[in-house]
Amino acid sequence: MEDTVTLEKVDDYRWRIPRTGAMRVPGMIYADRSLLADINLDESPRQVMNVAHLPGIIKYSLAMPDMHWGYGFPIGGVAATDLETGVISPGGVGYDINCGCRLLRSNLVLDDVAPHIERLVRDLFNNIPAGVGSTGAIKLTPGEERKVLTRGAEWAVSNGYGEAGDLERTEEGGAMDGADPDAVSARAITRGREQIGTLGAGNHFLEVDLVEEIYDAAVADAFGIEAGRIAVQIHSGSRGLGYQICDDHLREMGKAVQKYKIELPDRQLASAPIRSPEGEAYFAAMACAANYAWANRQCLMHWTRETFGKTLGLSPRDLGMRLVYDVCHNIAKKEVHTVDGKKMEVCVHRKGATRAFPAGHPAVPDVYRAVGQPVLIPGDMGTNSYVLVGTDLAMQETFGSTCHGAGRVRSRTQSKKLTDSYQLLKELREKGILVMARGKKTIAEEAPEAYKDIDRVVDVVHRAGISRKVAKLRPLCVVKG
Amino acid sequence: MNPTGFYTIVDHTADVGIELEAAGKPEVFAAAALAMFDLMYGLEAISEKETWRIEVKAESDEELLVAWLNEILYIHAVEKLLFAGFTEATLSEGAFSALGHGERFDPIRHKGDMEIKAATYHRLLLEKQKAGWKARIIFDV
Repeated sequence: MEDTVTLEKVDDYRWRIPRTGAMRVPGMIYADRSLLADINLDESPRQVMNVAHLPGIIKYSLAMPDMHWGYGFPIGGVAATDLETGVISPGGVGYDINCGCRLLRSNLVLDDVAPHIERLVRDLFNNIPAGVGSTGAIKLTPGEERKVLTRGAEWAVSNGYGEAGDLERTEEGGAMDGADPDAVSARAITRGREQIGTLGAGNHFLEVDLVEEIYDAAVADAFGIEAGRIAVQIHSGSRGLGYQICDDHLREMGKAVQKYKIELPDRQLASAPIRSPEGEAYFAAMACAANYAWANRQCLMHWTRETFGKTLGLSPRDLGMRLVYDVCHNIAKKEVHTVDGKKMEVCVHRKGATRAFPAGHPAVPDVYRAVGQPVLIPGDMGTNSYVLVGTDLAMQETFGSTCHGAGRVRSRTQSKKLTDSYQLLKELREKGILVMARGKKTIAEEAPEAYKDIDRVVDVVHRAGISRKVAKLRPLCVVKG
Repeated sequence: MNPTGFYTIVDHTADVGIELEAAGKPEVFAAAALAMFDLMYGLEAISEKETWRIEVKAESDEELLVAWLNEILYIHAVEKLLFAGFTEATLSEGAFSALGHGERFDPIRHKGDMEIKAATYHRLLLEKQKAGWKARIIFDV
């Protein structure tokens, strides 16, 4: 294996890694010079090359500007494989299957929440189960959990957590096809039983934001986003159920690699042909975890709406807290894309990447079909977040994908060493941002300096044209695990 | 590098890893599991009130190490058990077992600082040293 990674400049925002050795396709990194300097600090460009070895990979092994070192795949990696001849890799999805983000708009303005902000953040903190080892208010029986795994967010809505209208504003309508609870181990079912309706820890959060700037008024209007209004973001995933499914199937994939004689440069890229029993079993189980994650975020959103209503003493109509959209950041999807002028079925792995489908695409809900799919890019604690919209160029270049966040640049341990949690909380408060977290070290780990500059990351995908800026959100208060 | 001093933290952009050495492979396995609880809660916060027999099977020792740590994380998640010690660590062909000593999660006393999702194969190391064995494990957090 070569020690150096060659990067060829295509333009200011595209860097090509030429095909060498057993790479089946070249690599393509979306970044500017400054972000590239961060990227080159870790092994992620090498991981882009490793992913290019996957059987059936098409066009490019892609990486978004928020990329950083992951397992097997880099975080921020996108790879599409031929559905008939290619492989599926749990490492291309990650442990937190369908870790994702949803955004609620509201009728509220800053003056409606500012006088109550201390109470609001405390009430959200108390009503939204979060933190290490947290369990929720919902205890599922195994039979009920099987329903969650196939019905996803719709299960939550039919049990009183939210409104029917939320479903059309959720990627896949909040439930992926192909989910089969029989592909999920009893251990994973047990692990998921008490964790539905919990935020989790680490980089998961609930954040109240102010819509600070609109870049595209027509699209923002279609999304229901208006400058000066309050919005809420919820970032969480499939909790222990997803971790267990990934672990279970990585083990099986390890054996499949030998069975199907797949040669890979990294064990964490373990994979199986999509059309093999192992590949189909992983997809069926992964879809179950994805559906669980949508149900989870749906429940969290319901309690968020309830809390706003009680704390501010306002009716649902006054609040107007409508879901804008819910996107996956870690997923493998069966999609149809045009490759070399021909339509083909592919399996798109998005690991720390967001689907970014354009106007007119049949997967974009009717309410947004004329403008394109909302893309949600949460910032880290204390920095801005962005709402973008999918583009035709993303379909042509990145299998309809874009970035997912700021991307870490400093390790959690480095960050903890360099950051004093209490000082940071004070500084954030001075900037008008309240943070409540169960674990104090979490605050230091998630300090803004640990992340890349999100403004720059979003600027790259906007200028490269693989999604377009619609709105900027500024945080007011954050609840963390 | 850490409060209890028996492992060092490996810097990794998105996640956290540990490196440690012990006299034998079974001791390395046990110490790695303890390091996880130190990272998650701090060992000083965990009392030894209950014991659990834990056994895992896998084809190679490296796979056993990862399977063992993930088994402990599973027991932690499902039984809400936190461990502060392991005894009777035994490694044989394709199997590892130990007796875990700990207690049930108490939200008042156990303030979690880090959620470990899984032990991974990423940069996994289990190798013989001049004296004893060394392991490196990167966790998804």
